[in-house]
Amino acid sequence: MLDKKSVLTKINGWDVYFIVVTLAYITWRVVVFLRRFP
Amino acid sequence: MLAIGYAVYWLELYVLKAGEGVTSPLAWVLFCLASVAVIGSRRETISKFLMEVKSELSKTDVWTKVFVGLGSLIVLLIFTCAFYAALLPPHLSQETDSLNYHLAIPRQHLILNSFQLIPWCVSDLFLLPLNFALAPYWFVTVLPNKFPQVLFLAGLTLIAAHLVRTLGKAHAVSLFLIVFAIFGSHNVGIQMGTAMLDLVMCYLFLAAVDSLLAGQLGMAVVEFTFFVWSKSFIPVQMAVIALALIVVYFIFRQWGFSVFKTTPKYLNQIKGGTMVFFILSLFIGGPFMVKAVYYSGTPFFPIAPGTLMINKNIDMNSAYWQSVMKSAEFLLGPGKDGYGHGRSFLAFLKHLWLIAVPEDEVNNAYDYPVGLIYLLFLGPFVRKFWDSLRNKEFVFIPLFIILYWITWWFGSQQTRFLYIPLVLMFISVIVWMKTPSKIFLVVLVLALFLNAVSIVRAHKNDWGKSGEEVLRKKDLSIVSLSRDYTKDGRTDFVRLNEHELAYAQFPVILTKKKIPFTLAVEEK
Repeated sequence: MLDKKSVLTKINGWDVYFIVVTLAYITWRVVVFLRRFP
Repeated sequence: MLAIGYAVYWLELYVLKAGEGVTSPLAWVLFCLASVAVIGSRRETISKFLMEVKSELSKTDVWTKVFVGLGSLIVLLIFTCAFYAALLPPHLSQETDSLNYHLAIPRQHLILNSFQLIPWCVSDLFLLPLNFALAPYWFVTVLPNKFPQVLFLAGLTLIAAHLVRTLGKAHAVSLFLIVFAIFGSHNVGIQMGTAMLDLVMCYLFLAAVDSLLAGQLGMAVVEFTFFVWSKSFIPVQMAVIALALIVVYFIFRQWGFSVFKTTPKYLNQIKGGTMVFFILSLFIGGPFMVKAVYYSGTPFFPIAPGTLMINKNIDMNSAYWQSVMKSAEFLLGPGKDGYGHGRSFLAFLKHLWLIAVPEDEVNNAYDYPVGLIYLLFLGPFVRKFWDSLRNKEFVFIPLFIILYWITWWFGSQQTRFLYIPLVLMFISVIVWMKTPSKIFLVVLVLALFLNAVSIVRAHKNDWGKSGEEVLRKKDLSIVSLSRDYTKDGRTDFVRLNEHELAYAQFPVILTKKKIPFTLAVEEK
């Protein structure tokens, strides 16, 4: 299954990107949600 | 479905005369027969494909199997919600356009048995072939149904998966990735199970690309023709993108990029396809453009009204003409620019993040958020596009995505108009990616889960209710009025001050003047 030529499996930096983007997105949504409660 | 529906609509209008706004089951019967014939003829290919997918999946590691299985379960949950929602009549806040004109205009024409301009109706100047083609399916039930739209959602998913397979000779896991990406996108989730038509338009474009790649030029032209004439700005947008692509092609060729070569056979196919496109357009877009030119002086209302004044009876000083101009000004002014945060360079940089997230409660300045999936795909897309430029490769689909995005930026910045570039972006990245990392699979399934929660929250109030129970009060009163109108055997026009008329089974004259919905009518 694993293809060594694949850019996104070879560069672990992409995993960091996916995690950072996901955490940033969830944090943003939590902050917007909490703004409903003054 | 559209070709059958479009032909049947004109039959219903002039021959079968669906005078109460309820159509015969003819379109559905013909569509079901055609579907059975097509699926039957491709039975072996479908069965072979499913066996291949099963075999490829069985060779994957446990991690992949678990997340593909989990993701598939969430997709099933989302689709079930959309399917259930599609069985109810339109009533949701995100489908007011449908109540306002997608459904209301074709129904009023059926009631009047006439294609002439509905004298008070601005939206009747729009390009409406898609609405007319779906009307025989919508109005087969007394309370209009939106079931065709959910079939297009299924079709969009299958076409996208087929494109991934065709373009990348992709592994079975990649097919699941594109399904997860579509079902995990928040802006897709918002329109699933609704009567809106943006996903139908996205399907049409991708289906045309898929048919073209499969060598089915005739089918590609039919699909593309319905797509081009589906909204007033699409012909203009497609012409701008095509011109820009040609310019970029020649510039890149001059700069020594590796570009595809045009052969005489290829050019002949383009010429043939273009000719068929124009002939089909006479029947599909033609009637609507002739009407718009006659009553507003432009084939693409609200763009450039008054430029082709063939109707010498129009008095430029009349209240009617002033209402035409004011409506066009509104639709191209506040109506178009009422979204986003402006068009400065800073606004451009900010929108790359802001279109994905809610800004206030659940929505944002771009109408509704596109969600996490887009952010996950944006990075790899930009990186791979940059790589292709450095390697001097002319990459057609990514260039199309970027040009589409630029035209969107200068048009109405609503995320629902980004379905096509977004799905193409997902396809491009998945094709490039070949095999996903484990982390990517996890975050993709997480995004799917977040979208499933939003969809369940959006629709749960309707569960267990009948069609009439979900209707808004004003729609219920129109339904009740329709029953009394039919019972009393009336044939006169009814004066109403409500422009959302999908449920009206009688001819209406709108009494409330409201730009950009109503035209000024001279009382007789």
